[in-house]
Amino acid sequence: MTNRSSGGRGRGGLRRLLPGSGGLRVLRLAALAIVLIIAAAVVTVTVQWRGAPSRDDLLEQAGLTGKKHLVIGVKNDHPGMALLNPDTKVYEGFDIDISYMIAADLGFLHDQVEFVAIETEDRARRQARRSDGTFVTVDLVIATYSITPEREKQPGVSFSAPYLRTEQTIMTRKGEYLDAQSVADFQDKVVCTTATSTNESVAAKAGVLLTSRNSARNCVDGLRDGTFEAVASDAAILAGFVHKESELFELHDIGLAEDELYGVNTGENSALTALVNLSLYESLHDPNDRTWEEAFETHLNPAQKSAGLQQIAIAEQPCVPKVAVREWPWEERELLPTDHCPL
Amino acid sequence: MADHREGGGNQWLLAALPGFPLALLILRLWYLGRQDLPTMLVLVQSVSPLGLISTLIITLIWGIPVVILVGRALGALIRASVEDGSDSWVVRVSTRIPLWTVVLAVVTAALVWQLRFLPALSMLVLSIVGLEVRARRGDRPVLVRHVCVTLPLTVAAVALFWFGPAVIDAFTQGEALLGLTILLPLVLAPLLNGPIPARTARPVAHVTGIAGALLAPLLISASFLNAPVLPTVALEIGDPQDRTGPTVLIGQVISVDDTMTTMIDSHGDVQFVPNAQLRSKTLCPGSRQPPYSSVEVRGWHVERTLLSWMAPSKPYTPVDSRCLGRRTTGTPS
Repeated sequence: MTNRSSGGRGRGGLRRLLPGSGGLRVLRLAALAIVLIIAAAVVTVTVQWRGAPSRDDLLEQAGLTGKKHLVIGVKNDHPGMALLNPDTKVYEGFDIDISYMIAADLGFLHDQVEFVAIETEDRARRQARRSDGTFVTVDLVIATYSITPEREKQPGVSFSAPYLRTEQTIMTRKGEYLDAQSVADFQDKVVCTTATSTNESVAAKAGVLLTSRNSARNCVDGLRDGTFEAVASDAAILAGFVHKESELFELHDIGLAEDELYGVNTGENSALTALVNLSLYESLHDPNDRTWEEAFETHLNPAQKSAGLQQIAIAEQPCVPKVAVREWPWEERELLPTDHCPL
Repeated sequence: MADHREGGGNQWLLAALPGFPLALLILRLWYLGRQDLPTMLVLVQSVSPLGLISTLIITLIWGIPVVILVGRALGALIRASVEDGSDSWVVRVSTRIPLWTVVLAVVTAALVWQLRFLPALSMLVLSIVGLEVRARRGDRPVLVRHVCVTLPLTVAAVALFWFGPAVIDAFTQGEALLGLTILLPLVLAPLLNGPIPARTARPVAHVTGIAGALLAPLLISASFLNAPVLPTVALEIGDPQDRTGPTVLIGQVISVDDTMTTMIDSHGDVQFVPNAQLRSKTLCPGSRQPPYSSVEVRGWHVERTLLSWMAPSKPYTPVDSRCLGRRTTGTPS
């Protein structure tokens, strides 16, 4: 009763305060309607909207939660890039360090990473052969695998952002072909390249007598024993062989403008692609993370000294598009733009 | 006499009130057991009621102020807008909410509501205060003007100064709804503390009240069903003589006794692990999802509550390898 009577006084008071307040009442009703609509929208969006995935969501979607080992297909005969050291039986090289970096970001410890040698032509299928002879479908292919539009259309291929930029070059025995400056200088010569590599098409167009082997090592062996006159491949690959046997081989800058951008094949696993890109993005923009730079310094810089005028790879990590993930603010790494890549 | 009958007729509501949390707790265990009755019975046998109730309170405490403050505001709106609103159930309910409950609800909301909803809280408080002052002290126009005009404008000005950068960030980062959630309550608060057209007051309040009453149990259930009620752990299991190394089992621990550790895995299967096979175990981080927005208000993330901001939190540590289903031996890569 008290409320009712006081409410009556209130309304009388209001009328005295705001004579002719009918318009104001309608305005208040409109404001109330807006608030209710926004409230309904907030409730709907909060319940329905999932936003960007979190790191855990991506790990779950990629099938990595509960996975005991990460199997990575790598080259085993590319000095500098990925080589199975015959003495220690340990893989070493730029690709190996990048593999460990990505594996660590995916939550795998050092001994939970299994490297399996993969042939050039098997990289799209992700089929690698273990030392016991069994074939295995690897989770990732990190094996000097250049990103091309044709490869991206192949079934089973899904590339991450690039992690290394190199170019094609030609390797010959030292002292021969001193004037060679283009692929055309090797016209009618027997040039070896690896099967299904991007170098095949470039050499074929120039009219060289192209032959292919399933590994760069076989091409180099053939060059050494005189079977081939030259080997066409990526500078980052051949530089390792030149560095190892600099008294036997040399590189020729053949003036090709096209980049070879190495990417990671994640096998149409979009969540895994996002996680690999996230790892590369953080490596690029985290000033405290020197893994990429140290890998380049350790494995590619020494080879550059033996490569003469031929630049074997660009000493800057290529730009990586930003990956949207939800993170706790206190878990976010402090990332900065680099000279060549914005955040 | 009529009041007495009405009060007596509503006694069942009071009796049914504890039934809802109880139903929620049972539903949660049923959900955890993947709808399997024997699993649910194992859970009922072992799960601590105190643990369940703690989870219920922590998860749903935000909802209580919503009910109290919105109910009170809607009732006050009808009373301010119509000549006699006593026949409205919204008014009857709201007038039974004592002032101290409203104050407690405001304090609770200020502590447990996310920062992005604090402008909405201030709007609700200003509306309730404004409508109450109009109802109780409407014959004092100066007081009404100060409470219904000066106060909301001052609060809006101060809050806009504080929230302004976050609102701009929200709109520039494509989070328009977040921007509106912060901005609109502050801008519209001065308009929401007076009467609306009399013939619309009851329908607006009743429809809002009914929609809220229907939706609230659904939202509360959905929120609680995803809340963890048991600790998630990872166990390394294996025979010490086995050279293949241990396997890792991740799940929620139901009970531990002298001989067995009983846990339920992510598929809802109950696993009985002999303690002799346990090599190690670790507590895994909770399943709380990271925030959806990246907007901050002067260093305070919009999805954090005042309570979590003030309370000590666990420093960030990398997730234990065992919580990803992998054993721990080895060196970090």
